[in-house]
Amino acid sequence: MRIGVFVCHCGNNIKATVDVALLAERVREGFLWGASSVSPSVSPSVSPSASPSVTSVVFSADYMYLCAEGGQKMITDAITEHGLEGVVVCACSPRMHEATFRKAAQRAGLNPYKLEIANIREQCSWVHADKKAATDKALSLAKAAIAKVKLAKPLFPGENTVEKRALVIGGGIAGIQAALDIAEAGFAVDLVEKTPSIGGKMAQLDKTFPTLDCSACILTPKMVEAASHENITLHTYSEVEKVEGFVGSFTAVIRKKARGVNIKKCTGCGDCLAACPMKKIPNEFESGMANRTAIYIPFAQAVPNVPVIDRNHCAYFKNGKCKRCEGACQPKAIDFSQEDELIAERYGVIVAATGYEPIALDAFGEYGYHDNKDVITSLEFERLTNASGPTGGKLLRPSDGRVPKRVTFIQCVGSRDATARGKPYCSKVCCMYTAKHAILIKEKHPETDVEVFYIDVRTPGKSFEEFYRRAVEAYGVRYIKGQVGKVIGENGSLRIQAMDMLENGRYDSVTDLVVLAAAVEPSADTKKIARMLAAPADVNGFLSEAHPKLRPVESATAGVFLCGMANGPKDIPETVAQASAAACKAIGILMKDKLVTNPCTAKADEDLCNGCGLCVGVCPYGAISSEGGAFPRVVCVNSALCQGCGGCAAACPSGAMDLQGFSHRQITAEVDALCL
Amino acid sequence: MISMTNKCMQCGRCSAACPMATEMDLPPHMWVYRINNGGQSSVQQTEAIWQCLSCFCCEARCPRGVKPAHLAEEARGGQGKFTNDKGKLLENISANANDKIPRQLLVAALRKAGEPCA
Ligand SMILES: Cc1cc2nc3c(=O)[nH]c(=O)nc-3n(C[C@H](O)[C@H](O)[C@H](O)COP(=O)(O)OP(=O)(O)OC[C@H]3O[C@@H](n4cnc5c(N)ncnc54)[C@H](O)[C@@H]3O)c2cc1C
Ligand code: SF4
Ligand code: SF4
Ligand code: SF4
Ligand code: SF4
Repeated sequence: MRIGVFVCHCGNNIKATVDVALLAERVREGFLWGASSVSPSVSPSVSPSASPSVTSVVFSADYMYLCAEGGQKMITDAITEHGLEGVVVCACSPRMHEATFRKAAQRAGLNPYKLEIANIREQCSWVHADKKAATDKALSLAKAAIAKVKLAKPLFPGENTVEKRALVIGGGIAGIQAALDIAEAGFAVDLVEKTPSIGGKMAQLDKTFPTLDCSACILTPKMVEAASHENITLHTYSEVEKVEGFVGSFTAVIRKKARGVNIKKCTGCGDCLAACPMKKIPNEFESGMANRTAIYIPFAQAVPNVPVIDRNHCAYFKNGKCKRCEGACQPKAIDFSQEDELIAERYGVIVAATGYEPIALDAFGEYGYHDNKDVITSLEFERLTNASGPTGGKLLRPSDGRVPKRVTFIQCVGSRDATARGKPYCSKVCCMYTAKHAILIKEKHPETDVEVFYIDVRTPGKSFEEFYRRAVEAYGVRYIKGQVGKVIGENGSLRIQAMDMLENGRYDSVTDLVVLAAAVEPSADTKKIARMLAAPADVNGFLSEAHPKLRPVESATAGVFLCGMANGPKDIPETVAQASAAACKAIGILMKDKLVTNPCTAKADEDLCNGCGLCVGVCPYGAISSEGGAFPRVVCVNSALCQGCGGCAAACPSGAMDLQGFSHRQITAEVDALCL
Repeated sequence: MISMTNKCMQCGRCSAACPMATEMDLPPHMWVYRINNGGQSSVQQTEAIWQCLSCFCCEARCPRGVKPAHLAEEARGGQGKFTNDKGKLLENISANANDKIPRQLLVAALRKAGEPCA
């Protein structure tokens, strides 16, 4: 076999630590692969042609930047001129340029999988200082790669068709935006939302920073557009139960929970709501600050504007008697017999946009959230100041309905907290929404004193710093660097015990309302969704991007995209940008009729497999099945699902499972080359 | 222990929680800061380390897992329990005890002085 070896300088990245010319020369010293000619010469150089049965390095050269056009041309020229049957590139990590070099090989007529990379940058020059030792190690790495390429078989990528339909999970602003963008590109989208209406947290907000435009005014048109778009099918009050398959060809089972109301007949008149006797159920949308009935529409602008019967609280479902709503409903839309419906649908791509929740404050007893009605969270404050909220937008204390004379905001509650109580990260939106809340109060009640306790004020966003400074300079909001140690309810007021860090002294005040900027965390279902989609989540439970810089909206699983708070704390502009980016990536796949699949997948040798099935449980992608096929007692790998991790190959006790492109023989040859 | 002081982000929650902070010449967040920059010896001459009650409020509140009370304990230890010339409370604690001294302070002082509880 005629092998060519190319050594890259990577400017000085490699050259400064590895003697590249010497390396290019020494790879031609044959020992393991049986080449006889040892001819130290100036590279590039050609050794006397070896006999076809013997593997030998017939060409070697070093070059400044192999990935550059000139470098690639050197490789393609050498392949044609010297009839190379295998190529080793000693350069950076295969993650960087394996694809580049393999494409070059293919252009010269060589099967791309007959090209191997020896990583002499990340795994050698970057981590060593001694030039001689580094050069020796680089030589070992090159020899291992030569040993591997010697056993390489030509591989041919497969193809699979693309189902031209997208599934978007989560109907907050992230999911709505992604669905709209994909639908606008002409593809069908199913938007699945767990609650009875789309809109997410943004629907609960009053005004939005930094422009203070009304949240509902900018969100509602998008909700309506999503509902009426010819390419979008809404599944509200629905959940994804199961996802199988792979990019281009996922199958999802969606549970459409029984609303108890026929969505087609209902006119949204609300007569049923008035008739319902169960009126004291905490209203989730109002963050529990108002009540709702058992049959309810979550909020005035809900999409769809159709009620749902909360079976846990409905008198009929609890005691078998009532049905007053049925009597009140003119179009006869109420249907107590409705049952959950399961639908299965095929999708080419999936967008996960399951959003966030503020953390529970049970562990933060010092703030007295559970003891004092006038200690509220920021999300509750959004409802309190919202014209459609429980007070009609009047700033009234929950305890006695008085306008507070002083309001105290506490930032970073549970954020930047490395202990078990909190979250180690910055929740990113609280500095800005607290400044917003302070301004909203001052606009309505300039006489009300507003104080904000902060550790740092973080405003890195377009017009953010100006917005925060406006709170201080134009509205006279008092920012106190420090934190609150205790909130004590006292004679209808709240006593604050705090530290003013700039005064370096204790700051105690009496206030009427305390607002806690609670940390955010991924919504409760995120873990479940992550498992279902085989999409990894980070230590904090947020869905991880495939690369933090270069692949910010893709998950590690092909065909699964991420956007919004499900991926990490972010505000609405960033959420929308990410949603459009995720949609764009999704459209990129949907546009294709067929996808090329990576041929480096696992394959079981039917003669060796004894059907133990160990590999089935090992595979994180569910790619291995032990049923079906001509021989039901052997396993079968679905090559479209297999991501080539090699777990099964390592687990197989009988050596039947092998990973193409990384076969047992190749790995052993590499180890031998390194050790012998 | 000193290495943990660099976890402090100067939020002030320890001092906001500390029942003695208003009496101290150097509140807990400041001795964390000072130890971080100047080492243990930089706080050994303060009154504060002897005023600390070891009630651990600061440690319960600290979001970064810094242990101000332990740091004070260490600073005291560095001077030896009985050679302190600042901790007035340490002399004749039992004799001087009266209703005005908070119970917690008394117990803490006894513990620091190593005097047996009568
Ligand atoms: C108090 C407060 C004030 C804020 N103010 C502002 C502001 O002024 N300006 C600004 O830019 N940002 C603001 N934000 C941030 C803003 O709320 C978020 O950026 C935005 O809502 C994120 O949208 P999302 O779609 O990612 O998540 P969400 O709004 O949480 O939407 C997620 C959706 O997914 C659904 N879902 C969850 N699990 C499932 C499941 N398993 N199946 C199906 N559906 C599911 C949820 O029901 C929800 O509808 C504020 C945040 C808070 C807490
Ligand atoms: S049947 Fe249930 S939902 Fe209907 S009115 Fe009675 S309690 Fe309300
Ligand atoms: S572990 Fe190996 S032998 Fe067992 S079922 Fe899997 S492929 Fe077959
Ligand atoms: S342990 Fe000491 S420093 Fe900490 S809160 Fe109690 S008295 Fe203050
Ligand atoms: S509470 Fe912890 S982080 Fe905050 S100032 Fe005190 S020691 Fe530092």
